[in-house]
Amino acid sequence: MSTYQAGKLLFQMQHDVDLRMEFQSHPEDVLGRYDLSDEERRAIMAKDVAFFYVRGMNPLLLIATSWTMGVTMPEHRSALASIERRA
Amino acid sequence: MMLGIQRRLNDMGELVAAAAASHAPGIAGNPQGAGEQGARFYAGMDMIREVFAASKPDVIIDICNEHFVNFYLDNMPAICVGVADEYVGPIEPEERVRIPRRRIPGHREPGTAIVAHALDSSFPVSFSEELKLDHGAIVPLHFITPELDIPIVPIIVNNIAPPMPSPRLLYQFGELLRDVIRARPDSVRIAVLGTGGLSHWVGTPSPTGGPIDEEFDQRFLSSLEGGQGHALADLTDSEIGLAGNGAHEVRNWICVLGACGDAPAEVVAYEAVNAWVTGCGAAVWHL
Repeated sequence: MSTYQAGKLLFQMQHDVDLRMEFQSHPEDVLGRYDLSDEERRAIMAKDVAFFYVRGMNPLLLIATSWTMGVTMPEHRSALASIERRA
Repeated sequence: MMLGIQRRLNDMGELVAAAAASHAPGIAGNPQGAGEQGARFYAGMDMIREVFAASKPDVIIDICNEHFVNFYLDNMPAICVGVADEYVGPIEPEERVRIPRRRIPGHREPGTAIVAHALDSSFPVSFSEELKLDHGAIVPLHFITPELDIPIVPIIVNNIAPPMPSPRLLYQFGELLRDVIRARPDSVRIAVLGTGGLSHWVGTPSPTGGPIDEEFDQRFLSSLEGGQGHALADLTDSEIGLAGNGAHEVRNWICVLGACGDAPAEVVAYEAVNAWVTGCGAAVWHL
């Protein structure tokens, strides 16, 4: 399954502070408005950057927007490094 | 390439300066991290600033690229030309680039002229009055025109989401920019600036174990210095991609090459700066 919808959510949260605040207070409501798989919903809630990277989300999009899930830059780098170690 | 622009006997528009430089956020945001490499890179940017100051441009065409700041995959333009009277940037948090966010004057008319001629010549361009400017547009400009007070025409290229416009298309678009400038009936003085590159990986582990491919960078810069810039238009996606997903930004340099023809560039800086995660280059054309 394409990560298009998940990427769209992250992109839109990056630019829409109201959407971001709604996600922080009522994440399930926001996630319900996007055509996401159960795995994608879990990954967003778990801040699972590695999941989206492995599924082929554009890495430039992912690094630009992962902060909207609450992922810090060190956490982002650590997640990518863990993929490298497993490879 | 014939672009169908009728030259006039009283050609007055002039391409007065051209340069290209890397735009890694760390260049502005982390000067301490680069040590002596940074000092040498900044010295190169000072040289470009002096050339631009002496050429007194009325307008700077700022060729940079998208970073998922303006466009998502529902509608990703290959080339988008800014046609606003004003822009805001950089949009990043100030602690990342250490350049205060501010209003930057735009110049609508050259932008609309570029779009009109590009569409007449079958280039895949769009335009926008609401472009947000990030480090890609602002970092080199900040060093070249510290007051950010010269009106700009930002041009945003898709270098991030395949399929991307080819280097050949960007070279030809640069030729069109040159022809549009020369065909102007007024005496406006225009400079072009391309930003980004050189080799670097963004948001992905580097398959070569490091972010920078110095060999690619040196080959690229040697072509510029040797007046062989036209050959860089033949680079393929896969050749560029070996130097990193961020290396695709060299398309912005190739666009400047199209505007300058085979005039040799002066490479004023090259440093492989690990702290900035980028092979950082800067070049200026003496037109």
